Amino acid sequence: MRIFNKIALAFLAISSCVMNITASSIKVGEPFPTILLPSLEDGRARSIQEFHGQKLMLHLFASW
Amino acid sequence: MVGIIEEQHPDRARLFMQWKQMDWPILVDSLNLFQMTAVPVTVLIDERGIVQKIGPNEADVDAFVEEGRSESDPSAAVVPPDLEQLRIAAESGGVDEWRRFASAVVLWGQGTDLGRGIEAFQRAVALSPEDGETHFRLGVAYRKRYDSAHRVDGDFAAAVRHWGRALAIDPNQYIWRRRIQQYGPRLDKPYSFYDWVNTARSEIRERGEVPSVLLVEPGGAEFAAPSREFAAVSRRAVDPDPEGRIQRDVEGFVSVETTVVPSQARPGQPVRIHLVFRPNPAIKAHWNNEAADLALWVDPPEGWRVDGPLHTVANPPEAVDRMPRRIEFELQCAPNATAGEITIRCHALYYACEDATGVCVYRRQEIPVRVPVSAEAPRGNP
Repeated sequence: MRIFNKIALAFLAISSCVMNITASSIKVGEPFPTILLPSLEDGRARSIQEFHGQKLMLHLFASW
Repeated sequence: MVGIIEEQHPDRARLFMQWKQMDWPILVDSLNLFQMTAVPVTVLIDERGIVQKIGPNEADVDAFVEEGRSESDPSAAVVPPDLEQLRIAAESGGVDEWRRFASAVVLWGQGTDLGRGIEAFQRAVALSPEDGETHFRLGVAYRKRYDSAHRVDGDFAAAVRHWGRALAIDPNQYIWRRRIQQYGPRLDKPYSFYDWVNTARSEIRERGEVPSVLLVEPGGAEFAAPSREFAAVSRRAVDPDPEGRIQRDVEGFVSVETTVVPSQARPGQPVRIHLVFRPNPAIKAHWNNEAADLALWVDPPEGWRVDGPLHTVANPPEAVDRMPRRIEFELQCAPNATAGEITIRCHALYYACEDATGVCVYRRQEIPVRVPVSAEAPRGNP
């Protein structure tokens, strides 16, 4: 777990409490939905499918 | 690690990430295409793109990481969808095609395309009026246009109406609920939404960095702390023009846009009123900041309470400016109010000037704030 920083740990702690109310589009055992979204960095189109071939820890969050 | 943010204003997430020194790739899901009902949520995805765990604990993550490592493929180039193809599909399709086209236009179109996106979402709403997701996304599109250079009067109010409609359809959708609470009254807030912004800026500057710029500064409601009871101000304030002697702004130096959040009041429940005062660009009007501050007097009807009858906006240091002035206040609906529409009488006093003639005037504007009242009880808990 040392490879993750404090923020990731905080997300984990809260996330494990709200896991029962997540999303109807994300399901365990199924492919993660292919949805194109703008990158925060430069606005270009990106997708989680770009990361195929590597294990991914994905945080869905908001700053509010 | 990768992040997806569920946020109306992604630039705020950029500031948050700079503050917390998070350097992961972030994707922006302002339309909530992932249909999230709550955040934060962590998801573990394996090398094949299969979801292995939602909401893992630390042990889950450790096991996931230790299950062998693999080399990543080079990233494939990803291109935005073809808007014209999606439009053609929508014209001959149904609600799903219209939603797909509308979402794509809002995400990938230019600023002037927001109007097309709004129209496309309206087509989807017309085909499926009880679809909460479409109402929510239409609200996001309206608010995006409100924050853009292509703003149309009433965009923010339309956003609030559609978010409210979405929440009425599904009261358990917390992403939708939070969007209204972000701008709504303190009694309905679970927490202050953007109170971290000033701390973040301060700490970023202490590190010797320049804080990321926000395109839209959070407003009063977004900084406001929750409250457990309606905060009516008891001290006596004085109406600055009780007899209405100040000349009316018949020349139209200043326009006023009003938004009620939520869009309907309920007996005994609060609403937050957002007023934006804009100098009239047609006559190049501007504020005279060497005169009195803009003042607003609120005169609620019998049985209604206001969090303060007199509100002012301090003038900025420069002698003149054309920036909008914003005032927010809260009202508590009369406990015995009946369904219909109530008009809250307000008047504003301000000093504005016209560029062409050089004329500066102190003017009064009557502002009838119309608040729809619903007798229905709210659905769901905050």
